[in-house]
Formats: sequence, C-alpha cells, structure tokens
Amino acid sequence: MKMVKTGLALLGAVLCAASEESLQERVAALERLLAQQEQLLDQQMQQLQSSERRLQLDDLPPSIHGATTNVTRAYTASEEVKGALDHMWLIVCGAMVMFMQAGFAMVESGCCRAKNVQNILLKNLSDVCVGTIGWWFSGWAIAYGGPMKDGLLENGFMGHEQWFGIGFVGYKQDGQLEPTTGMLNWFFQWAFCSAAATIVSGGVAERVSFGGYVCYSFLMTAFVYPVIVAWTWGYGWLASINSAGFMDFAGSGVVHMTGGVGALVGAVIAGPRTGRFENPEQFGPHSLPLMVLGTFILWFGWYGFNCGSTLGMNSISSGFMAAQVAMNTTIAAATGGLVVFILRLAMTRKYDIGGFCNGILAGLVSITAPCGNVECGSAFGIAILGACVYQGASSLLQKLKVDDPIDAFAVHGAAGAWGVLAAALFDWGKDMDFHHGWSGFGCVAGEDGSCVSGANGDALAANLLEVVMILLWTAFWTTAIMLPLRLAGLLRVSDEDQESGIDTVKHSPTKAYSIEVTAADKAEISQGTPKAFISNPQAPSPPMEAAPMAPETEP
Amino acid sequence: MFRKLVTLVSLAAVHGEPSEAELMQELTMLQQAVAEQQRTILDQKAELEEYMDHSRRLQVSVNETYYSNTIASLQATDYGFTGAIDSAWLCLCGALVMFMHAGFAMLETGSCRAKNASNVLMKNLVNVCVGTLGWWSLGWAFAYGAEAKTNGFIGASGFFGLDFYTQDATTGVITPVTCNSDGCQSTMLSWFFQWAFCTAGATIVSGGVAERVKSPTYAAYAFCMTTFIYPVIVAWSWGGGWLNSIFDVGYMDFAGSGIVHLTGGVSALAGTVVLGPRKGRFVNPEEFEAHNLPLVVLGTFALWFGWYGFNPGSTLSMSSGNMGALAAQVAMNTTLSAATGGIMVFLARYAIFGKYDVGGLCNGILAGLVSITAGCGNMESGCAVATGFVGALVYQGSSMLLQKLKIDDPVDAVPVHGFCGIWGVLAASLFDWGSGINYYHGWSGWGCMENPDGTCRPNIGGSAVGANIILVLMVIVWAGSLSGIAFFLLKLTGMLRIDEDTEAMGIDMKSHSPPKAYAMSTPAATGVSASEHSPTKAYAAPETTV
Repeated sequence: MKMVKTGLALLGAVLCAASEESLQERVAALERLLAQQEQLLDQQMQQLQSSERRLQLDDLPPSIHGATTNVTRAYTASEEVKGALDHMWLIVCGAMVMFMQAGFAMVESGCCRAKNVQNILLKNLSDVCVGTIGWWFSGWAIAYGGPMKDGLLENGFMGHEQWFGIGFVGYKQDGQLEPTTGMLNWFFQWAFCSAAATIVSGGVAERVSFGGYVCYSFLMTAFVYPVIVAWTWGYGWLASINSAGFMDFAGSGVVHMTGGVGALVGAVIAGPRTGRFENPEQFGPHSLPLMVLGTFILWFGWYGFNCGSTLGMNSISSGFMAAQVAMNTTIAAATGGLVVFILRLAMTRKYDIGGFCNGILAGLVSITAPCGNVECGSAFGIAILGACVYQGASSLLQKLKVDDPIDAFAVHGAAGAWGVLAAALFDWGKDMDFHHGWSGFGCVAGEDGSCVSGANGDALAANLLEVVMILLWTAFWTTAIMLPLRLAGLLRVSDEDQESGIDTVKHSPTKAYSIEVTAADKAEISQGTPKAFISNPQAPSPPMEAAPMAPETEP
Repeated sequence: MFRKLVTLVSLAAVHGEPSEAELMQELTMLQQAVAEQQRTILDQKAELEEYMDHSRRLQVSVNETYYSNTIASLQATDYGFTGAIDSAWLCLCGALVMFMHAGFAMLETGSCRAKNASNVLMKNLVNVCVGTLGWWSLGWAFAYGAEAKTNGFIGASGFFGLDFYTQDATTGVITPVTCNSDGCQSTMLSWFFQWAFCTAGATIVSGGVAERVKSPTYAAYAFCMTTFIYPVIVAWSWGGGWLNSIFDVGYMDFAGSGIVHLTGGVSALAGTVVLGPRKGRFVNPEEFEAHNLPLVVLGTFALWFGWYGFNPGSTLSMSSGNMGALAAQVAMNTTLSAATGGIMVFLARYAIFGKYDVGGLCNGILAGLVSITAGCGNMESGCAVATGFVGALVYQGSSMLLQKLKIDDPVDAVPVHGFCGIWGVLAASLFDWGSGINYYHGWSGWGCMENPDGTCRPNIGGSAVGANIILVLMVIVWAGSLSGIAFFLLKLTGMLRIDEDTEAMGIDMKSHSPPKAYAMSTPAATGVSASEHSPTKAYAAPETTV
C-alpha cells in the first residue's frame, strides 16, 4: 500500500513539474517509477498466488496427519463423519456375513448323517480358514487389485496388484502411515469370498476326501471366484459391456451361482454317496434343530450380505437404499419358505421342515441380485418363482441321480441364476424401456442426463451373459481341478469308509456325539431306574423301539 | 511488457541526441505505460482484497454474539453426529461381545460330557448375571473411577452406577453426557461396552473349572472376579493407572490379550490346579471327549463373530475416518490371525496324531484370535499372519504341557487364553509397525509416538517390549495369586468341589431339574413328528461302531 502511495506522489510530482526541468529528467523519473511499480506488481502477484493456494487446498489429497506439508490437507468434518459411518456399516455388515459361516455349518451338519458330522464341520471350518489365506494371497489382488483406468479395470479381465494386502497402507517418512480403504473392502469382500467357497462344501459333503476338498477350496478363493468378481464388481468387462452393464446387487450370480455351479460339478464328479439312490431313507437329516438354527443364522447374516452391499452408509440415499433392500430381503425369504413348504405338502402330504428351510434360502438367494432395484411386490413375485425354480431343480437332480446332499445347487445355483435374470426383468425402471440397475432410485442416464431408452434390454442381455459366463468359467475350473483329483483317487472317500462313517475312520474323537449311555448306566437302566439321557433308543429300557435306528454294535 | 518498453526507450535514448519532438513522443508513451500499469495495480489490489481476510468482511454485517452462536451450534451439530456414531458403534460392538457368551456357552457345553451339559450351561448363565451385578456394584468404580488416573492403582467413584450423569439441582434436568474437545460420550455407553469385556474375562474361568466345581461356589468366585480382581487390572491399564507411563512408553494392549484373556486364563489355571482333575481324567481319557461337536463349532463361530465387536470396537470411538481405517485394519488382522491359527493347530495335530481333530481346529482359531487381540491395532497384515502362526504353536505346546503335568483343563482355557494371551501381549510390542525397532506406534495408531515437538521418539521399541513384559508379569502375579487365594479359601470350607458320588452320576442328574440336558429318546412313532412330518424324527441317532 505504501509503495502505491509513494508511486502516486512521484507521478504527481512528475506531472506537475515545470517545463524548466529538462525532458531527460522527466523521462528518467518516469523510468524509475515504472521500475518501482513493476516491483509492486511482483509483490502483489506473490500474495495473490499464496491466497489462491490456500483456497485451493480442497484439491489436495487428504491425510489423517493433517496439513503437515504442502501436499496434503486435513480431512474436513463432513469427510470424517462420512468415513466413520462407512467403516462402521461395513465392519458390522461384514461380521454378520462372516457369521453366515456358522449358519452354513449348522445347516450342512444337521442335514447330513450323524456318522459324518465331524467331517462336515471340519470342511466348513477349514474352508473359512483356507479361504482367508487364499483371499489374502491372491484373491483380493485378482478381484480388486487393479490397476484401474478411467474407473474400469484396465485389462477388463483380472487385476494383478496388491498381493498379500501390500499397498493398503501408505508409508511416509518418520514412521507415519497413511491408511486407505483397502482393509475395509478386503474384510467385507473376504466374507463374500469365503461364503462362495463354503457353498461348494455342501454339494460334495459326506464323500469328498478332506485333502482334495481343501485344495479345491484354496483355488476357488485364490483364483476362480476372484476372476468372476474382477469381471463384475471389480469393474471388468461385464460392467461396461453395453449401455447398462450387468446388475447383480449383492451376488445372486457372483457369489451364489458361482458356489452353486461349483457344488453341482463337484457333486457330479465326486459321484453319489454310496447307497444314496438304493436306500434313500437312510439319508435323512440327522438333526433338524441344527438345520433350523442354521437357517435362522443365515437369514440373520443375509441382512449384512444384502444391506451391506450398498458398500457405504454416508448419505440419506444409501440409507433409503439399504432399507429397501432389507424389506425386499425379508419378503422374499418368507415367501420362498412358505411356497416350498406348501409345494411339498401338496406333493407328499407331509410337513417338511428341511424343505421349508431350503425354501427360505432359495427366496433369499433369488432376491440377492435384484434387492436394490425392484419394489416389494416384485420381491414377492421373484421369491414365488424362485421357490418353484428351487423345487424344480431339486427334483430334476434327484431324477438325474445327481447326489447333492443339501440341495446346494438347487438353492444357490438355480435360484441364483434366476435371481440374476430377475434383477433385469423386474427392474423398476419405467416399462421395459428405462433401467435403474446400479443407479438405485434414479435411472441409467445418458450423457445429457435423460434416461437411456432401451437400457432395460441391454441390462437383460448383460445379465444373461453374466449367468452364462459364470456357468462356463466355474464349471470349467471346477472340472479342471476336481477331475484330475478324482482320477488320482484323491477326491472320494472309499466305500468302506463311507459305510463306517468318515468320523470313525479319520477323526479323533471318533464320533461327533457321545450322548449315549455307558455300560454301567445301561445296567442301571435295565433295573428300571433310567439315569441319564439316552440318545440311542435301542438301549434296552424303553419298550417301544419304533424309531428305525441303526443298531448299535457293542465293542 | 513494461520492461520491453523501457528497453526500447533507453535504446532510443542512447541512439543519438533526440529531438524534442521525439522526447515528447517518448514521454507520452511512458505516461501511457505508467497509467496502464496503475490500472493493473488497482485491479490486482481489488482481487487481493477479495481473497484477504474473510473475517473482516464478516464483521461488517455480523456481530460477535451471532458469530459465536453460529460456531457453538455448528459444534453442537458436530458433537451430535460424532456422539451418535460413537454410541451406535459401541452399542453394536458391545452387543457382539455379549453374544460371545453364547459362543462360550456352546463351546464349553459341547466340550464337556453329556451328563454335565445342563450344569455347564447354568454356570455360563450365572456367570453373566452375577458378573453384571458385580460390575455394576463395584467393578466399574474400581476400574474406571477417576481416582485411578491420580493414584495409579484403583478408582473409587461411580459405585452402583451413581454419578453417571449430572442433574440440575433446581430444574431436575439431566445431562447424560460429558463433552470435551474430542466430543461427547455417555458414561453409560462406556459402562455397557466394558461390562461385556468384564464378563467375558470371568467366563473364561468357568471353562477351566467345568464339570467339578460347585455352582454356588463358582458364582461367589465370579463375583470376586468381576468386582475386584479384573477391575483392578483394568484400573492399572485402560483405566489410566500406573502401567500407562511405565518406562516412559507405557504398555500396549489394544483389546485385551493380557487384560482380559490372560487374566481369565491365569485365574482358570489357579482354579483348575486348586480343584484337581476330574475323576478318572487321566485314567480313562477317552471318556472325556467332547460330547457334541456341532455345538463346539457353533460356539467357535459365535466367538469369532463376537470378536469383531471385541477387537474393532476397542477403537472406543468411530467419529473420524482415522478411527474407521484403524477398525478396518483391526478387522482384517483379526480375520487373518484366526484363520492362520486354526490351520496351524489342525496341521500340527494331524502331524502328531494322524487324525483329523475338529476340536483342535476350533481351539486353534481361538488361539489365533487371542494372540492378535493385543496387537491388532498396531501391526500390518503380514505380521498378523505371523502372530497367528506362532500363537498356534504356543497353544499346542502349552496344551501338551498341561496334559503332561496332569492339569485337567476341560476346554483348554489356559492354553488358549492364558498362554496365547501372553504371546499376544508380547507380539503387540514386537511386531509394532514403527520403522525398525526404533520408533514405536502403540496407541498412536497410524502415527508414531512423538516428542513434544512432533517428531518421532527414537529408540523406544525396547522400552515398549519391557513395558508389555511388566504387564504380563503383573497380570500373572495379581490374578494368579488372588484367584488362587480365593479358590483355596473356598476349598478349605469344603464348598469348592462336588462330591465323588455326584461326579460319577453327573451333576445334571443329581442337582438339576429336568435331570438331563437331552431327551431325544421319545419313541418317534407316538409324536406329532411321526404322523405328519417327513422325516419322521428330528434326530437320527449316530450309528456307533466303536
């Protein structure tokens, strides 16, 4: 400011100068003035630039360590709150999805025979553990590792960075770390990956050998499933294939159909359990309370699976979306259960609780893809059809003599494929023309912001392609992994071991339950004073031995 | 541009004796240049004014009261948001930790014999209920009373949940939260979350003494545990006591490998040693196998699930992206360590015994989880795998050691929670991600522990290890001796152990109504199941081919 004033004064002096001063002096004075003003301009320019930089801070990348240098800035209050909400949402939902493993374990072990229970439980435990390692080794890197280009996966096929979780945390000087959202997404997607692997375990239960199954489980989580994710949720080629791209909100196709197809191919290659189609009455579920408990746990976990697939919870629109998803999920589960129960009642005139449970699961699988872009009435319709698809697939497999102990293919594969198609067919876009898909409550819009005409047809085509590609890819790799194992004799437990029960042959302790009475107790019981609980009614005391129990052989 | 002009003018001046007309022309040019430059200066000045000093412009139209009111309401909104998120986070995580009781109950029941199943279930139920009253009456006050920060040893305020809120004396209006610069949290929230940890610590003991301890006596012990033994350890550590400043660095136990699990594990060891083994345990070991493996696996999954409340919830707040990222890291580490632990124990047992051992796999998962509980917040994922790996070996080694010493621990509570707890605390300081063993992160999360001037404190990695060793030793001494004394006194009164008769018959038969946990022998032909259901019975009994 001072410089300006001096400058003005000087100029005034020059202008007012009398003509006696020589022109040269006036020229010199003006030149000095020019130089001074130029200096002033430079100074002001510097001030301007620094003010501008301060205002442009928002363009710098944020850092949890604040504006420590000129290259980062602190998070704003709203970014902090949004980040915290997203993390809370996905950690809680991821934990719920993880708990579905308990549900799978209970459904599968309850559904199988008592003599193989330990082996089923072992398979479920180990595919979570092995799957975790697989997902950490290479699964994440292939599915989500990138590199990305313009928001899409660069090569469209599979990622190849961030192996072993490397690169999730940025290292700075001085031991300071800069976290990314990598850990959060790794955790949430891990739960999905291990769910997909677990589905297969049901289809091959009671006759697959443990070692062979673990190999398959590792490859499934480290390679087969992640590639499918890379194509779809990882923004690969299926995501950008036409104007709409595929739409599979929470993974009817990506997760369930992948697992279901793996289960089917596994069941075919492993062959039926010895005696399955000769004495079917021996293959009933051994514990219905476990099945129902498992079903309820799965239903509970599904609210993490579907609602959590909003992948964030930092705005009211994601809140609305999650609520819509929760409502659709609930309606579909209940409808699916009732429809299958009624179908079976009509067919057999008996109450079938196992069918009820599988119907609930079929309804849940069917709604998993479309839960984010259909209204509740459509969810009801999708589940009715999904239940019929399940029942049809289940009967068909029985007819074809494919032994799928817990109907893993019918529930996850068939109903999963139906769910993916339903996501395009029942989309709540106007008529069959506009499409909502991933846009949630808005439509898929073109460059000019108006809804794209014909997007719904594109979406249907893309989803159809998703179904076909998952079928081909999973079936191919499952065959490629399991067939050599079968031929090498590493996939199937021998008939004798199946007869005596895998638990007895391979496990320590040799049985899952020891609720039966000891010899001393039996003596007491036979004297008419039943002492403790008897799980084997063939023990001498109760006169009515109507239950067709397998005879106990004394040691 | 101006410089060019000047040069031009000076060149002209040098060129020769300029005529007056030329000079006049030059003068006009210069004057124009000066005027133009001045316009630029004024423009630039106006632009600068735009940028500079927003507050001064605000003050023109806004008075100071309005300004400070605006700030206060913005801060209240912010506190409202962060307080709400914190509360949602800790309520959910506390509930997840509470659900671990279901896991403990299923695991312990499944691991014991059928004839004592009801009794084990009851012990777990009683433990939660008695523990709750203990934590409410005295435990919280000893652990988190403000005095712990000053005397370093034990708190003494907040008994029976008193003073958890402030009430205006005249209007009776209640303010349930206290606010500081970080935001507002309710004391009730903290009470609830920490209650879940306290009762978890006590439940661990119930596994070690299962199948032979008298239920009322165990309830008395659980009360001691939740009112005094565990709270004092918390007061030293999480409550702000003396372990926080030891060796100038302080201990680091993120979610309680030492504070919760080691405390429970050591107490379980004391209990099982004082009680002695179950009758016949080392004579007919085959009779002591788990009676219901589906329950064991269900319990393991429930515990694993609950651990996502235990570990990520130990951020104790969720009001910033920073905390969110930390919780995510914790979740990832927890997952990896659990999986590694399970696989390793399974492989180790398969190598040793040549049989698949599902119970071992379950305990391996728990060993991995306990091992990562202390260090989940200050190590990277590769180290979490290493922690689980070593934890599994620690578990398997100590489990075999106890067998050799003929110490009967029905559910391996001591190896899982005690020994792996020790390893977890050590791992938290050894695998800290500070660069080298020089800098140390510890509680600072993503940043290093700093000097007052903001630079990283060098050469403190060793002190950190030392501090954690002290934590381990103090927990062992305190919990081990007090639990030992408590159990020993109870033993002297003859109230500790059930009599031999009961032990042979099964506690369920002797003391419970109904006298058995399972009654599945109802002949199926007579029930509703048989006439209307398919299959005709809910249970198909195991075909035992012994």
